[in-house]
Amino acid sequence: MSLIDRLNRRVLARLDAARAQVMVERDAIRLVAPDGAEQVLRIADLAEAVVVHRDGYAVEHIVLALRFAGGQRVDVAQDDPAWVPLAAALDRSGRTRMPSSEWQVRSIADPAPLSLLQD
Amino acid sequence: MATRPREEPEFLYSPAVRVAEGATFGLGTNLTWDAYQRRLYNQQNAVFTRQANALLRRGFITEAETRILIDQRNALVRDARRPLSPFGRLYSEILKPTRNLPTYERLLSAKGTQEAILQSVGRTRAVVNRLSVTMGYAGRSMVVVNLALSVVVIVQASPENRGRVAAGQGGALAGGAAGGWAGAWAGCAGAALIASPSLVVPIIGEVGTGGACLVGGIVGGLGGGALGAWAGDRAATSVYDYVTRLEWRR
Repeated sequence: MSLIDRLNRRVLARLDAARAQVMVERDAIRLVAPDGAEQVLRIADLAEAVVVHRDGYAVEHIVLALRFAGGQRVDVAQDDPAWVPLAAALDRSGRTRMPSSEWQVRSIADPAPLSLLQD
Repeated sequence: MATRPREEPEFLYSPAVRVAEGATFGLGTNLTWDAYQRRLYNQQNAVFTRQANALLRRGFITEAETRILIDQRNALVRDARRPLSPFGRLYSEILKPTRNLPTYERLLSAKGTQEAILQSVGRTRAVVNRLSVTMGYAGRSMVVVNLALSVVVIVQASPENRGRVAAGQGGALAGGAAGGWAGAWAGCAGAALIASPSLVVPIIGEVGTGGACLVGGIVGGLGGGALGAWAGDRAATSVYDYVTRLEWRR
């Protein structure tokens, strides 16, 4: 790892310290805040799930933007470790309009926002 | 005993032009390089778009194919950041989507309607898109202008001083580039750390770490470039004088 990468990791560690960590359990998402506080958001309480493209200066991120009935918002990028278990959890919930294999491919094929939940 | 002739300026343009030249060259090379890397990424990403469309036209998609496509695209996203400038690498990492965002109520109060929220979610960060394109063009312009100015200065110098002027200009360009790249990174890191987790600036409002990094990077790049150009000019000229202008008296 180069010197710049090491320095960047230190800077990002300080910045990420203010962000909650996302973990996917069977049918829920657990948010762990920097102070240790945890919040569990059930997939059943999902009000909105949209796959969007967001520019990241050098790349374009594909992001699953979730909004829950209580107002909480969680974004998970495609290269995030939580992406795969989250896609599986959405499949198990039966609330999406198409299987995760299809919407993931559609999100790569078309940058337009893709709403996942059934009406 | 070695003596050094009295230094006289071989060319005349204002200090402001000299500072601007150094400042913009460093930042310009930084932005130009990153814009080039983004074009490379766009070309490679287009391959995945074509692959995805081919799978959709076929009519059925297996989980294994999806997994492979996702993994390959993730590898591209990861690898595309590696050749970026130090500023670019840090800025692109900061722009990675956040995991926990302001509440719906807060966003509703800012956006007004649910449709506006969905549109804001779907917008591909249009400001960043435009900035990326703008910065690429601006960077190239800065580089071209600075190189042209250096060539003019060298050509306009008197023949006996042309070598010295060329050395100074070369040192200024090299120092400006090095200082600009380092300054852009330091400005981005410093501003992002100050803005984290959120910073409210009077009149402007809330400043995210991404915005702070961008502003800090530009300011740092200009400042570092100016300083580096000055130091590079002085260093290169001194080396040239040492090598070529020593007069030995016996």
